[in-house]
Amino acid sequence: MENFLNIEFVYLLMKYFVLVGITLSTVELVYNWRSFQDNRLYSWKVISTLRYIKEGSTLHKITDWLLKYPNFLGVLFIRTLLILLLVVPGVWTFSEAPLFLLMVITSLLINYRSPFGQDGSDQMSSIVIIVLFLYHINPENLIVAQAGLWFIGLQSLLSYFTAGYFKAKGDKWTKNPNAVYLIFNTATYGSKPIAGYLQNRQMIITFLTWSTVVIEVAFPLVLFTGYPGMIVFLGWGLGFHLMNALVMGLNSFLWAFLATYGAVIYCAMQLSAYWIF
Amino acid sequence: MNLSDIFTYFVVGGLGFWLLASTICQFNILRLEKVFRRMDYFSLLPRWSFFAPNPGVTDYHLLYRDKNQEDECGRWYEYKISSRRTLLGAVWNPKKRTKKALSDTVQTLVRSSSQMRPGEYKTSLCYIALVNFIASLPRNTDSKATQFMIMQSYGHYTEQDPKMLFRSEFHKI
Repeated sequence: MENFLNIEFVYLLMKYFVLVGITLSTVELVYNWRSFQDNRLYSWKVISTLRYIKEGSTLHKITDWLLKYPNFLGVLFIRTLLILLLVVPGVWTFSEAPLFLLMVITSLLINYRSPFGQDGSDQMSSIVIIVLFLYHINPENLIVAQAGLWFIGLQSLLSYFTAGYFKAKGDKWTKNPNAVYLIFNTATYGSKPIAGYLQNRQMIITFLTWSTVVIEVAFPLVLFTGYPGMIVFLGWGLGFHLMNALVMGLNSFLWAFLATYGAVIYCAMQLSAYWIF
Repeated sequence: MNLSDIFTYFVVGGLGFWLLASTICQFNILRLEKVFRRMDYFSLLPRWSFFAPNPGVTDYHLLYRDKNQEDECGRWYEYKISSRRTLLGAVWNPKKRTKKALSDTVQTLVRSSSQMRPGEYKTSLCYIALVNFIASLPRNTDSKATQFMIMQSYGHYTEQDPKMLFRSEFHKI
């Protein structure tokens, strides 16, 4: 666990986890390349009517050129190239800051072009990749490096707490705790065999529903539980995202949120150094 | 103060502000969420309230039918928004993105159609995107117009019948 007080190690871990998720999402975007054509769901001609950059400005001209079909496929190609340069050892021997800057730009362009279809994993990946860029500008700058880890750690805790807090306010999560069954019973995010198993097993449904709410709300306590207490929360988180990937098909959440765990452990370890008991 | 100090203050201040804005947007503190979201062109202010407070417990169905040159309507076809879950889907799930996009647009259109006049929602991004999507599906060359319908069902194990939520006009293809 002492490794997690080594800033360089934590950033390296963060980099590889987030890049697995980004690789998956980029390959998925490339696989769906036809949907970016002008007569398809992600038609830039349609989506650009909603966008906010002032028409006629230089920035508008640049984004419009980059995001229209087929140029947008070039953005995805550059993103794939960046992943290779960042992942394959020995290929890029210079500072990684320019690569992360380009990765940030491609992330922002994808976000800008996707008013629908994005999820929390895309948002977390964008957040992590921006922090990785800031860190790599000058890895010797200890204050920036620490601030980046605290920022990622607290964003991660905010995400679990917010999800739990709003679940606690929902009747299907607390008053009539059957939300887990109802979600698994849908074709969109569920699974027929699992819904079939859970049907009429109210004890298990109540346990799964309530435990999700309680652990999500209590997740920020990971900062104060120390080691090995933090394993309870992080182990639950890992299991939770694995189950969501398996049952709900939310594959990229696992990698985006795992990428933040190193920062969460770093923050918890750093805080524990100040404990007087 | 040298350049490195300025950079440090800028980054630390920026990250602090970003975290504060993210927190404000989750809980709409001081009713400032709209103010921040309006400026969030690149989706950098996250929405962390997954499946809460009211989780999606229904499935949406997107159906479409065509009118031929003789003005006769064909049968309804369904474009499946949901797909069968597989073990491989935990690692490789490329259809997820299109399904999520369709699910988002369908839900937004259903919501806005009950709050807006037809003239307003027909020019909305979701309506146009769905018409565009339906028109792009492979079909009989005899078709001259298409119409789509959104239905809602209540899961695998249910006794409730599906319900129609929205039906579009015919649009030339």
